Amino acid sequence: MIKENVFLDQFRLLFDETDPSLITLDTKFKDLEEWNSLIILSLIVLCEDEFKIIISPNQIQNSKTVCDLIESLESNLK
Amino acid sequence: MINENFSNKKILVTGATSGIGLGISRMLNEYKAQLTISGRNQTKLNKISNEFELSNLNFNKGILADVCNLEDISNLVQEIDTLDGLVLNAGIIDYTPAKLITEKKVIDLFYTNVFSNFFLVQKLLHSKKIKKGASIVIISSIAAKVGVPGTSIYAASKGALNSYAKVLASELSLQNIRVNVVSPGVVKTDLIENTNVTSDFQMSNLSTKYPLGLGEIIDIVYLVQFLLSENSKWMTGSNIDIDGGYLLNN
Repeated sequence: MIKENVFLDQFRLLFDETDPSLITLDTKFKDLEEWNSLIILSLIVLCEDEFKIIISPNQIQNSKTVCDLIESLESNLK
Repeated sequence: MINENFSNKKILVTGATSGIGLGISRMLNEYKAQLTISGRNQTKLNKISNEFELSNLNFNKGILADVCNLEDISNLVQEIDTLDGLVLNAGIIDYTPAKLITEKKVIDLFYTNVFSNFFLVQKLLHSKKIKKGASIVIISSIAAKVGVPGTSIYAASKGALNSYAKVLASELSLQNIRVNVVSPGVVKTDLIENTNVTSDFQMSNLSTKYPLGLGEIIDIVYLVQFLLSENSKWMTGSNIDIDGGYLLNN
């Protein structure tokens, strides 16, 4: 089980230019101006290193909000 | 004229159980080299050693060795005869943005890709197990020469290896031992294809960056074959990019 707030805090740290308060569980993260390929790579590494979950780029692509992303990650745990 | 007679040559290949190392070992085995291979996966090593024994009477042996373990390196050196050729291929890949690298990742990567080679060569030299006139080939990467995001520690490890090779070539030239580096671009290997990040995230766009397409293991094998042979007897300290033209545009 992934703690939403823990994930959200870590997810916010992947961004350098974006105001953290703009990133919530409902944020459509791919619409953020700063979203780029390095952040995608960072997200994959974050999931593997901090949450021990291998996430595919397709799962990121198919998730709209941070909440979707967490659900998608949890599906990998089942 | 290419001299492909390796049957009188004693050669060690590290990281020989997969990818480029396996390709090089297969080539040397086909040319009946007195080959010793090392790897850290017992099952793979046994399977390949059995295969090689059946097809090459000159095959020496497979030695289980984790190059990150000094004791394993010492055992490896003890078990081999004086070498005519050495291929330093053992290595791992990592894709981690600089912001997220960890001490463990840096240590693991540098130990496997860099330090292990320092210690193996040191012990071989100290035991006088590299013949005069031998050829050492080091497998590096073009990653050391470009700035691909996410490759900071991997690229740094290969950069360190490149510098090491240059100095080693200089020191060993007195004994007529040649040291050359092969810097491949991306070739289709298990190591690359099994890396989650590369397989999906980068591979799709990657081939467009290579004017001649992604490389195959055999492309690297032919170059290593040349460097191990007498045909390259006037080459040392070289670092050869073999990248399907990648560096033309980067």
